[in-house]
Amino acid sequence: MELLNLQPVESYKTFLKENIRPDGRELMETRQTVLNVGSISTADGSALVKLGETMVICGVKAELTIPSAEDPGKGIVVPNMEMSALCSSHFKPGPPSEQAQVITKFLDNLLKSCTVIDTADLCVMKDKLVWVLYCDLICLNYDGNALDASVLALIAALQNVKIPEVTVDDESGLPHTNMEVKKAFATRGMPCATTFTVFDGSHIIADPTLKEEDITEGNITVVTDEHDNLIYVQRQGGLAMPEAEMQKCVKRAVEHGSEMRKLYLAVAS
Amino acid sequence: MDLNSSLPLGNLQCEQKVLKNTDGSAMYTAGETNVLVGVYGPADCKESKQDVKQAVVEVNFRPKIGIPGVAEKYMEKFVCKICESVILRSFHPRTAFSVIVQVMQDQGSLLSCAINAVSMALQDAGISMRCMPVAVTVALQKKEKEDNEMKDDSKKFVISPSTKDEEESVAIATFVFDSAQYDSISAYACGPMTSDEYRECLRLAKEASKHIVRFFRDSVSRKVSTDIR
Amino acid sequence: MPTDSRRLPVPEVSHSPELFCSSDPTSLINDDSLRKDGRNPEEIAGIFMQCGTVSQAKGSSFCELHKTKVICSVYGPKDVEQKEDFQMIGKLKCDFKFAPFSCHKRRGHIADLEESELCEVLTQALSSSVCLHRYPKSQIEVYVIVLENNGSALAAAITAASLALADACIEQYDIVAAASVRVFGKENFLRDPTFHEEYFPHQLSKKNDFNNGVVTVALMPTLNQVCGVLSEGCMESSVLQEAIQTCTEEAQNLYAPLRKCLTSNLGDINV
Repeated sequence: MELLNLQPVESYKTFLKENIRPDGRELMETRQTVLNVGSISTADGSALVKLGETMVICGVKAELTIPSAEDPGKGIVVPNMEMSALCSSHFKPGPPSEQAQVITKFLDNLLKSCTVIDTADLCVMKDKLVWVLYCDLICLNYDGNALDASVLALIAALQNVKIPEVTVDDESGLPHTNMEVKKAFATRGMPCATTFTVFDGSHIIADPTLKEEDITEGNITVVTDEHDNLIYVQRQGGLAMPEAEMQKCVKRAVEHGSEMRKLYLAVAS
Repeated sequence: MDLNSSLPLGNLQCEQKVLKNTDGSAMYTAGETNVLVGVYGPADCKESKQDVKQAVVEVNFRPKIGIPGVAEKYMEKFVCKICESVILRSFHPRTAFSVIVQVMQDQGSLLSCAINAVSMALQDAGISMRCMPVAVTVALQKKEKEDNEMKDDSKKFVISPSTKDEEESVAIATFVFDSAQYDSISAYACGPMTSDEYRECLRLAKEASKHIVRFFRDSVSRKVSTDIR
Repeated sequence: MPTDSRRLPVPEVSHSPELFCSSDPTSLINDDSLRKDGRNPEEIAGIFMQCGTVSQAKGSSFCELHKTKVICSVYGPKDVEQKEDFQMIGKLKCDFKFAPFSCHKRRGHIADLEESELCEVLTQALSSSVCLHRYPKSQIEVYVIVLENNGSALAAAITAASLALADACIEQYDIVAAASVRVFGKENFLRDPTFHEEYFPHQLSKKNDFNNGVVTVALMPTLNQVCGVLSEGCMESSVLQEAIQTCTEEAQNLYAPLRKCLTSNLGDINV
């Protein structure tokens, strides 16, 4: 372990010769994932994900607002990722770091491109009142691969959301909410992300830890849905790679996705 | 150029050396989308950001109007990762490359246009690169026919989609290839598609990228010939 | 309105659904002199403490007091950021944050006044326990996030922070334990108040006598020294004294579980 800190690349190579990683995983093996929903009672929906040591919590707060002029019949979903200074010494307190912003945008793109939430369901009264779901994600412990953990946390938290019943008074036009009656709303699909990274231009490893992220180049994230379709593919940097390698990642992502979907189903029941 | 007419790539134009005070610059037009890029470097770098082994790359992405937000940050990161992988950074330790991408007009396929523009600007600056990155955007459109389920017929791939095409499509994918081997460097695909559809997008993009590389070569040779004169 | 370019755009105004429901202000204690959650006024809330929650940090802790959940991590001692701030004693930098979803009303991302105030109290309470003279030219960073606030967040935060400092092997004179009590009339001291029992000036009804408020006390249990007091609301000085006494007793009782939490964590390392 000492050697891993002093000569990370060299010592990592010796591990890879045996096709194993320092934490005992195989190259394409992901870390153990724990999903826990509804633990925050002040949030309208919440989920805590532990991916190995990496820990991400997502809390959803539902509020009422006036819809935008472009989409009068649609609600709004705003994800926000926070890599707080608490989770790792890599981050400073203050506004979100670049990495957090990139994850925020990733989650936003993902929500827009897949049909997990139909924003029309969030409409209370067209042109007058819609729900806005603030999905705040906080990384509590950062040991690499915050992206997969945050996708899992976000989707599980959205599935966990229960919003109170709202009625709009016809005469006064004022809304009235009944906090006693809360209903879950329909989420469709269960996207699941799998991230890979490339070590030394030739070894693809799944679910990197923080140390592995530091010594590898380029990352590949594949999001699959329950029909094993690809919803989102993001490959950033790294050396040029033949397509066959990429297909390996896709194949592994599909496998991993179906494993993770069992978690979603387990917490939903 | 006859090339443009034979391909569904739209109107391609590129002018290098458009900004005087930069080390390299390019104005790249693909269809109606227009991007201006300036490159500085290898230049001095703040000590806190320095890397003793290789040069660092900073990308600034500026939208047409307003201040850069989260979406621009995402693009920045994407472009930055590409630059980091193509530039031979170990030639210039303790220095920084600065790339400024200014969107002049966005009518679809912005990401691929920006990457191609950066590629030409880096070339103009004479920065040593492993290869030149070439980007192509492909949109997948599906027409839902309610009566018959002739799925294959209703599928349509659009190369270099316009904003309108993008709105109508179910999935958009941008691929970045290296100009030498045509292996993929980066990819960004958003929207549901099967892996066969993904492969088809990739195949089309690869075909198109070869034409773009030819366009790169032509415009560089044109630039060089005017330089000599 | 200045927009935050580092986050996605949000609607300019939005309202909590609780705003639109009819609320009934009820007394804090019912006729059987029980509180809303069924506790006796003197009954304390169950506390759960854990060390080493954040593996990336030098020291960390998680503390749960009824439903209030606080996570805390400590980094350092490390170099001070600005070199000109040369000092022979160390600097304690605290950051106290409510998660946006932690309260009934959604909180903003930028620190509000309440957060700054609580952060200040936290810093002061910890500064008197940490041996800052042992860390010249360096700073110790303490980050606290309240994940769920069901009252007594400050008390839980102070306890958690001190536990995290101990976990980070930062030298302290003593661990700091904190407790809070809601003063409600002359007689009623509600220990470990929940969110609904906390003090909100605008909710006061006239018929109660003016003794009304919340007192939080931070105590170093083995030295039996108080290192922080925050009193909100107004009360007679005798009542305040009594409230502080109640808090002190309660904080003293936290010593045993704190000790147990720390030693059990040590056991893991040895084995």
